[in-house]
Amino acid sequence: MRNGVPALTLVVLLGLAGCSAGAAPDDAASVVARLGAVPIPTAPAVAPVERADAAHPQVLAMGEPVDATVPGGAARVSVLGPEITPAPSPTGPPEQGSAAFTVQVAAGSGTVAVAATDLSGRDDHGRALVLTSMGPATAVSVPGAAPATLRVTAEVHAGAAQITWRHAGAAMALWTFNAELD
Amino acid sequence: MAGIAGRMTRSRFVALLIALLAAAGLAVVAPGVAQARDGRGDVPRVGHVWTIILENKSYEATFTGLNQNDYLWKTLPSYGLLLRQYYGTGHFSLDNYISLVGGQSPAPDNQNDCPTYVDAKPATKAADGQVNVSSGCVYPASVPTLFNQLDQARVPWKIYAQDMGNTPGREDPYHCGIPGNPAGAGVPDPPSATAQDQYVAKHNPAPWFHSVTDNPNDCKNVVPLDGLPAATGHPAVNGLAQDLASEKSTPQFSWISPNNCSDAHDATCKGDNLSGDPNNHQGGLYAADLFLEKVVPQIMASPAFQKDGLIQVIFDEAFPPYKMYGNSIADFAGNATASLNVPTDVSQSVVACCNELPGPNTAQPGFQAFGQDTTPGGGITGAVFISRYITPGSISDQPYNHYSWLRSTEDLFGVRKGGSDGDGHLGFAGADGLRPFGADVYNNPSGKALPPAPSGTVVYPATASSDDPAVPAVPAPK
Repeated sequence: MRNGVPALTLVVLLGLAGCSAGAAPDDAASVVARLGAVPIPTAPAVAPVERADAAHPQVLAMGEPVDATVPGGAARVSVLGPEITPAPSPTGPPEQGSAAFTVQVAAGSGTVAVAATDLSGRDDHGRALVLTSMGPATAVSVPGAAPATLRVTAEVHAGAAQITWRHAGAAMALWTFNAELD
Repeated sequence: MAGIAGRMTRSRFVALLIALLAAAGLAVVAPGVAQARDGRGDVPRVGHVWTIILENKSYEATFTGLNQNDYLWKTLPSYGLLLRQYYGTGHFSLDNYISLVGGQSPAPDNQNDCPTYVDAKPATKAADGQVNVSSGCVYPASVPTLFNQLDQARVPWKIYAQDMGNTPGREDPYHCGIPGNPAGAGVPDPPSATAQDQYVAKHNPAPWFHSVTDNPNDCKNVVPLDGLPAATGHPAVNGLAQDLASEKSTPQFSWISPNNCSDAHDATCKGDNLSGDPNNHQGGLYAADLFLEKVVPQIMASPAFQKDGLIQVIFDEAFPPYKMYGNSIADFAGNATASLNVPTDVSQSVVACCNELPGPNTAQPGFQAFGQDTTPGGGITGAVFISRYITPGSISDQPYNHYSWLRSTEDLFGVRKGGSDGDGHLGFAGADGLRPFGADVYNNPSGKALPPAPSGTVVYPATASSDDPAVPAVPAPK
């Protein structure tokens, strides 16, 4: 007994050592063969476009389009920007600047109009963004024509903010963005 | 075998047993073998790390559906781990990069993004491995970084900086990406992004430490993301894609600084945002998604990643610093713009993590918190990690910050000596009780590849879609 138990233990240990030393090549192919390939997250070839109507408004990142259905028509609408011109600041990164936004409207059916007065903005301090049109105050789009554009500007502070588009008073989509001034 | 044991004395038998056990142990801790531990907590033998650093987003902006950056918000967490309480250490950008690779706390100019690229002064030693800095930003050669530690540990590393060197003479791609000479009066207003070159030095950790920039061999490791063709006096430089081709050519540690567009910094990019549309300059998380969709699969398809890799997507700071948990106690009243010095919505605040100390140079890191509440720190950004040692779709609510990241990286690559604690941890990475990534992060120790979790199981979005049920069904935690 005094010799038998250790001998059995030794057999087991030798077996373990032998298996470990001989069966664990660590090159990538061997690891994959032993443990499997880690699946790779591929992005969809075409990003899906969200849909919105008065009953289902959407929250979007600035730049994302939305397929909106409004009374009498439908259009793909997106807001791009902001293109910011920081205000001069003598004491480090500026805290505010002038921002320009571009609204693009491409009607798929009917005639769809987006006016500057349909847009409103607010920042993370609760301050309203005073949006002023640059050029035509309304973008009117019809199917088959080039997308109509509307440019608006506002003073923005460093931080987060949002632009909301309403149609006939009903919120359709809200685009969020960060104003980076450094 | 009984005969062998019978001919041995008990002490010789015990010695043989110990030797065999040691041999078995050595076999088990061979690199790439998942069950292995390094003796410093539950850390598997991750052999290759890629850290991708993005810019200036709060956790809520990135990971709750407030923005439809689907790839980062939905897809990547379903393949890995979402760290819901990962924190920055300061505001603005640069102090975070310095904390990450040097363990140094914010100082007046680097938390102002260094309006002048100039040597730090007086740069004398302080407690806890810190350095006294009242002005300037470039640390002296006596201040080590993670990269110097990796050199000593013979761990190959590289920094890949997108766009670096695109415009000749603007920054030096053969000299760590420095924007000029920091001696004397230094370089006022280091360049910001342009249409052709969206590299900015403040998002590259190398230029801010003489311990790196003064070493030509180290600067050979700081390369443009897409490499460089051969030029007079300079051989061609490999970029990320070429280095990923084989395990041998892949550095064990890779730091990736996307340009000022792809890192989500600029709301409207000055140049290309990788959309393929020359008229599309949309930035923010939209652009970061485009970058990640390209680079993450590229890394994950590499032999080095499939063997023992870990991808980390982190942010430097939360901007604006929304709170997720807890709240601070006071409103900051020191903004230059007086209108910001008003009590703010209590839902927006900076909260610090991990007993972050201010260090010798500022009363409160993160003090310039955009008129928000101001407990120390950089706010909650969140982070995503992907590895075969991580269970897809898992979550950690353990608080970590950039100092935790540094400590974890030092541990992962076997740095054991020096630092502020004598145990290999630089600056505040050596703070007593600071927790490195543990079993909550490396939660699949077998390394067995697992399928992705269904998208959307990680978090319930902050915003609803038209397809959501009226009463959301929240899956039970795993």
